[in-house]
Amino acid sequence: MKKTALAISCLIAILSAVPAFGGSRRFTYVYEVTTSPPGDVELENWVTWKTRKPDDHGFDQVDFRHELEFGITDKLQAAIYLADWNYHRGMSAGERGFTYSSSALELIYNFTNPVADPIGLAAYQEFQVGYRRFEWESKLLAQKDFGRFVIAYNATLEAEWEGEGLEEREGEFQQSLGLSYEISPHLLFGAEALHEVAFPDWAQAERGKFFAGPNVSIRAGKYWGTLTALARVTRAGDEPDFQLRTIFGFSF
Amino acid sequence: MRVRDIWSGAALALCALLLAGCETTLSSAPPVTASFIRAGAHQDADAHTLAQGRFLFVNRCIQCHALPEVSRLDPPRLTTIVAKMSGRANMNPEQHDALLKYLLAVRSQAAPR
Repeated sequence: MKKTALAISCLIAILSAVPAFGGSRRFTYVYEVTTSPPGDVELENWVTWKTRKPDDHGFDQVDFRHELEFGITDKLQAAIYLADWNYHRGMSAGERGFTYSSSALELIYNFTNPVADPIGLAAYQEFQVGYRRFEWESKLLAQKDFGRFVIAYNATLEAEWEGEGLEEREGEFQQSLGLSYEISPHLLFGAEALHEVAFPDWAQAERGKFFAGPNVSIRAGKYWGTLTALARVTRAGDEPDFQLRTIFGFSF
Repeated sequence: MRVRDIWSGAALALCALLLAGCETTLSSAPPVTASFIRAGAHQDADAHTLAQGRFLFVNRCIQCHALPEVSRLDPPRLTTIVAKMSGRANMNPEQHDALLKYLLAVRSQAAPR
């Protein structure tokens, strides 16, 4: 008990001694309106663990993403997803093993500021290319800062083409909402919620899936890390019951 | 879940954000008005420098943390913090100078006369 208290005290002391670093994320599923300062280069590593589906209790998948982010101007940010890959096992995942999924280019343009303007708005565009796979993802990002409180909302439209001649088509509409409170510049707590509706073959909408859960973000020096745990709230779909996402960032 | 439900949800979320936006948090980053420019004159700063300082304050600083209550910080402390933070926010000397002058003007305007 004493050792735990001592370890926590040391951690707090270390975190308080190191200044915070720019470009860090409060959320892992929700994007913020703010963009990196011009000239800033940052490496972000994503790990998302998804487990247990309603009809496949042995399902496990770990997704990895490695992202290089560049601040271009005060309003424009670009990022390259060097590789999205995953490890999977379970009946619904096919054979167990590693799979390369795709690489991507992302652009975020910031229109208004979440502090100085009534609402902060930004546009997000992502192009993802993989083996027999192409994806287009557009987002509208909204955010408002109230001192230490931040509320952020994303509306996302995703179009995906897959297969030998890219003949399999699917669309998805997604909404996400995040709330965050800054306890100190080094420690933030919050919650995220995610709502997804898929349109297989761009036809009839499937039943919506809803996920929600808490998050925590820690920043120290040039490093930061954010962790979100999401549980599936609705019963529909073949989505995992639980997913945990963490993003570790480092500024060069 | 049907398309109508999706749009209802989206509209609700946007309304909530817009309503939230009516309550602004400008006390920590006041706009550059005529009276503010007069306060800035004590820092040898013109309107352009002050506007640039405010732009940097509300754009760069919020990437890491909530905006601090500048009126609670004395000028030497403010100068030290800006010197330390401007490197982290990739600011050049001119931007550092503009930010510091803006924050000193905020402080002098907020201080009791």
